[in-house]
Amino acid sequence: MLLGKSIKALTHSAALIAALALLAPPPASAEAGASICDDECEALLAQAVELRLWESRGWRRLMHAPPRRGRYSEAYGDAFFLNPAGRRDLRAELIESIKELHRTHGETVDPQYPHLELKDEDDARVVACRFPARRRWLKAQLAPDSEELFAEPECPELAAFRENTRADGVSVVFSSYYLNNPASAFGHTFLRIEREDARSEDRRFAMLDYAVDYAAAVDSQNAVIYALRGLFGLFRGEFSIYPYAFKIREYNDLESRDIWEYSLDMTAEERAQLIDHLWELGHAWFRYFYTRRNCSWHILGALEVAMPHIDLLTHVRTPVIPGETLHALLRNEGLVNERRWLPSLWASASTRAEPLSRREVRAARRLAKNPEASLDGFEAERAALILDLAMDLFDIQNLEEVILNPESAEASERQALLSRRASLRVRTPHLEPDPPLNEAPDLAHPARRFTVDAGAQLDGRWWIDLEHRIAAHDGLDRGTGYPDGLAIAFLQTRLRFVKDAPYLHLRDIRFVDISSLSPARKLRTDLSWRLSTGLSRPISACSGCIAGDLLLGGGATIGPDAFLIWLLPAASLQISRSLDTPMRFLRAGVGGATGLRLRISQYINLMAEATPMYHPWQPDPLSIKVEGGLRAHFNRYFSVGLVARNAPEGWEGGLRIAGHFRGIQLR
Amino acid sequence: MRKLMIIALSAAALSVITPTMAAAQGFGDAGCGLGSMLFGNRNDFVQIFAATTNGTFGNQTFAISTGTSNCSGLSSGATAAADFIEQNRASVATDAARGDGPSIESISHLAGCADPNAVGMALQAHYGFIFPNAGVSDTDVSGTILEILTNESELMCEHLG
Repeated sequence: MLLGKSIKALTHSAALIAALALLAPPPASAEAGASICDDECEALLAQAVELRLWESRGWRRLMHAPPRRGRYSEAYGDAFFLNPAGRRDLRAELIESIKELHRTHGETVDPQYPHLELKDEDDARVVACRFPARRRWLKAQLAPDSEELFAEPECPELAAFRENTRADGVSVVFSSYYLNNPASAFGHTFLRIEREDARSEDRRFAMLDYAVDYAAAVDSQNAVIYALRGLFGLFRGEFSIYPYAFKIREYNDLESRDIWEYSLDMTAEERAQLIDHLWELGHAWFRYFYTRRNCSWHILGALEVAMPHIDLLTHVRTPVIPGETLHALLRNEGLVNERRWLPSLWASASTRAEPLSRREVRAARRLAKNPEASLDGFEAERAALILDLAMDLFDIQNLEEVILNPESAEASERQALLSRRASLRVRTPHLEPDPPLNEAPDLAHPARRFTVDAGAQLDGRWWIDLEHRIAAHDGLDRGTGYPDGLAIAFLQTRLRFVKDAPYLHLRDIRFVDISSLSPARKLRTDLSWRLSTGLSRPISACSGCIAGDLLLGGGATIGPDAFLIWLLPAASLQISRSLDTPMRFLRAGVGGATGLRLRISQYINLMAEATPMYHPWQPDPLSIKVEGGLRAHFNRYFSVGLVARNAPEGWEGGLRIAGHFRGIQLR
Repeated sequence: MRKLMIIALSAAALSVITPTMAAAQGFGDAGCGLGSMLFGNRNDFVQIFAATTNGTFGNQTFAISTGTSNCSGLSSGATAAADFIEQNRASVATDAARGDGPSIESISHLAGCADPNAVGMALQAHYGFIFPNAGVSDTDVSGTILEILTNESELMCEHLG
């Protein structure tokens, strides 16, 4: 059957070629898969060659070739390239695009692509309608004054897409740090397409807008494979479009994450080009690299196509951290015209709880667990406020279950709670939570940190420590731009220089050190937890040997005012050949991590932490690691402070200078 | 009282009719069916150790080339309002119970109603008809809401023919 099809295709093509050969001059190019190019087309090609258009910024952006030195497109997929070699040959792709988009302008849409196996005019139309952004760009470059050249053919599906999206505003959206899912530990960025229909005179309806994002298509359930594939580009990443209401529900409601929107100043033409290019991107996929080519990279890459006069990717550094890429937007003066905040369910709940008395809050918490709980003694207006809060608290715990399983007990409880609220016949006053402007992600310090410590041990031996951290934030760093109590350290390495041989040695590496300290509030008692793993020099173990370590703790935090005080019972494990223990190189421990962090002013932070551990079966069963510091911030880049700790060799302390910078530019 | 009777009867009638209508559309009991989709890997064990990507379902439903045609893709009218309600059923329930909220404003906009506040109060007043129990289907919910919006003429919802 396949043979029959091929023969049919061949005879079909042969017939066409024969027909054309009679009518038109022979094809000018001898390239494989070359399409027919008439005089007009040849003239356009000549112009393109003279301008070396394939090297232009516009073409390279359309092709998603990395700025500066990228020679290839980062996109994959047969549907994205007209020339089979187009991915690695931007010039060939340009030439093929000119030929094809010239040939299929206006009414003309005939199937001439041997390598694409187009059966008929419908197929050909699909191809002709696939590249509206390229078409618009080529027209602007080569034939800006012509009505006919590069005119669009009839494209019903594209037209429907344009009609449904009709963007009269575009925002870059950041959903906040979410430590419960390592994929979202650094947040996520995507686009909000504000539709012309989703507004009235004085307001927008966010739930009617669209969201576009780039993410990996995850088809693996195995944890280790998942991690490896994400890090090494073995997942396909794709652009998708969702109702914005879905994103609001996912981030604000289900994960209780704040959403920050950065509204972009774009002309109508730029918005149209963005929509058209998103259509093109719908036919492509990319290799997803968690640290380099993730959601943020590609969202910015798409925006660059639409706005030739701005630069985004050249301001992006490795690792590509979503919150940091917002700076790329701000580097272009006037690009961002507004910042908006959509509150998480926790933020809404906190705002609802503010005007309520302790007794009323308690009633709300009871109702969230038991919708039939009594509201005696509260009049209707107060009962309504209490139930409103109860509804938010209930959803924070149970909304996911309700949605996934409409038959569940939770769904019935929600029904009971909401019915009760409705029966009061009181309208909820419109809620206006105050945005936590101090946590706006664009205000955050850059992720990479380099520190120099100069200090000494109690016995007078001095040292100099150099520490580098790839990302991102800890309790002593400047708090602006981050939620309080959140710390993520990724690949933090400390080396020490001393006077005597061996002069330089490793003190500590943190592969990962994450803290989520959620201070107990009127409403909220989330678990505070800590995970830390790396290489270090353990206390009371082996006279300063290096050991692999792992610490996992969970407990509680209280946070009156500028304080955070935590107590996390924890377990630890250390492993080293030098550990002479009954457990053969392993030392386990149970104990806790306890500490405090105080913001002395907006610019000065103080922190101290002790980690006592009891090690069963060890000759020296008790170890306590203590570490503390003070840091004063001049701005988001530069700070000085003090450090103190008990090293295996004894107590030590020193002066610290720290610099945050945006990392290096990798190709 | 008579108005309530009409609405109750219509709701009863709709609840018989709409499941078959929905089946005919191929969406099934859950109307547009999007409302019950969630994203990502919600298996917490896997997430703690592994997830290094912001995952998606890789689902055709949200592909760029087809994603805006989900449900009806229309920007106003009865079908658009029904699709919105079915897609956002949980939010609609919350806001209807409160008599106010973004989903009510959206419904009001799609249906071309004169005053979203009045729409909110109407939905709150009829909450028991719209959500008689937890198991009521999305299409029933949207059907009842549209019936209310159509019948309460003082809401002046112009786009509902």
